[in-house]
Amino acid sequence: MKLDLSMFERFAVTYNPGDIVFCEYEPGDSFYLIQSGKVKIVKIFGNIEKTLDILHPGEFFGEMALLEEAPRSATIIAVEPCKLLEFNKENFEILMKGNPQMAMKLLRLFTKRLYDQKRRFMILTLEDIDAKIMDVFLMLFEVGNYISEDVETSGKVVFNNSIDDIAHWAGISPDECQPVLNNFSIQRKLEIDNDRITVKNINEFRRQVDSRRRRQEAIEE
Amino acid sequence: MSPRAVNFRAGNVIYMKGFRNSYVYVLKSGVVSLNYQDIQTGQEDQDQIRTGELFGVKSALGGYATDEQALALVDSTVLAFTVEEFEQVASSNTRIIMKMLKVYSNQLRRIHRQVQNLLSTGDSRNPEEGLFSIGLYYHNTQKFRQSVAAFKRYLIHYPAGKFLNEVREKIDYGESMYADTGTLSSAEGYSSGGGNIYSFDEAMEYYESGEFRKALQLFSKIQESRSPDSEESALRVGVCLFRLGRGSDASIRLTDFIKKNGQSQYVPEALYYIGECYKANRDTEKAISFYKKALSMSDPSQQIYILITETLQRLEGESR
Repeated sequence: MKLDLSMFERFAVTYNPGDIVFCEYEPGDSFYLIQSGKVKIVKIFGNIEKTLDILHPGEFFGEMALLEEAPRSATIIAVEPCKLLEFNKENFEILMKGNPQMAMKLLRLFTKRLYDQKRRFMILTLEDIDAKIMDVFLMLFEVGNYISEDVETSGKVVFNNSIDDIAHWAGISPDECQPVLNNFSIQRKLEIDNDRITVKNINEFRRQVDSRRRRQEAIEE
Repeated sequence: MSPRAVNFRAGNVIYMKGFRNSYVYVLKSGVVSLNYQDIQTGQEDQDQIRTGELFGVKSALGGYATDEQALALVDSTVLAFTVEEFEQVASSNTRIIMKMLKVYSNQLRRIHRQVQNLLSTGDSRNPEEGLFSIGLYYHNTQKFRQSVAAFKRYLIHYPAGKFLNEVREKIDYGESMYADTGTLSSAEGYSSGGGNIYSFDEAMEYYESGEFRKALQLFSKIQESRSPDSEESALRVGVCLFRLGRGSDASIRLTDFIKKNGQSQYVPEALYYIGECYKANRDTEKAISFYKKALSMSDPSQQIYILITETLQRLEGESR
């Protein structure tokens, strides 16, 4: 479905490579649709700037500002010369009513965000740190965020994620995450090779997470 | 293609929890219950669907496993739309999508808050400090275009903020670092040289005549080049900053210089100027310790040796 955005030209804003669209912690009430060019989502962790994602034409960002009166949760920087459409609460309805395809696209995005957030919540509520980390791999597998898999025969899945990524999703520090992964590696549950982690048997991870979640629920009851 | 009407007897399951569902349903008649586990409390909960309402949308559109069970409580009829059919209907009636967006945005707001509560122990910074820290990160990593942008946003949102003076100072400094060329520093992957040759002698002329702003611009460019003068230029950048009254920036640059050029003949001078920064900040004790360290590392034949000795004698005279 191609979006006809000609009627929204008055909302267009342009950025040069390196320009900040908005900063983490900044208050915001607008969201953006990329018409051309690419932007990167970055976050500062201590003294490291980490790129979380690169967004392409047709993708939205900043839509959480419409929902949450909370500061921006990441910084957006233009990677290429960019043309963005900038919308706020006031012109949001005009945009959606005038362009059902875009409304549909946003609906799909919201369902994805809902799934992501719920899944993240499930991970964070696990008390056992080993289970938390195993569940991160299960979540990455469920959303298709992996390089290759052989689940049917061996259960092996190769992920293109760093220790920092895993720690971020588990809501723990990389210092806490590293020894757990090392331990998994010693137990031959996985292999770590730079930014590539191979889980030897994802089905075993699922079994263990399910079992620990059930045990935790039984204790809570 | 049009949606199929499907009848369910009371107690029949329309879809089960954990299964992939590829239909969007509209309840035509009867009563349907959505049974789910509240993710926060773990308790079983339920929502009743009323005639005309949609269900199964999230799992069908997202292609995810359902997180609820849909159960007919009485004999019911539902209309089952494929995703394509649903998109066709919704596209001609944005009211449906707007309603769904509102429902989902409420759910999203709730779950987002729950997740943030679980993560809140990680970052207790308030937004003002947070925004300042973003500018500071880019400033310290010499990505001045981003630092200036972040600090300018700070001024917009916090015109009477607690970091106001520091922010203004850093904006001036950041702008001075790319004012001439309008390009970014080499730390950002942009060439500041582009084949231009910046004269070290010219920079020294400005420096010695007290034109520190102009000297700073030239030294900044030379230090990024592969010129034989880049080492001394890196030191002079720190000194210029100190002379321009930007003590904390100067201190960072001079410390960085020592880290990178531990064997340089200019280390005593860098130490001396760090001491000067402390002295300007009225921390005489720390200033003296840096002067003494600078003195111990310098050679009596160096001009800096004389300067340090005189400074120390003056300070000791003042303390008597």
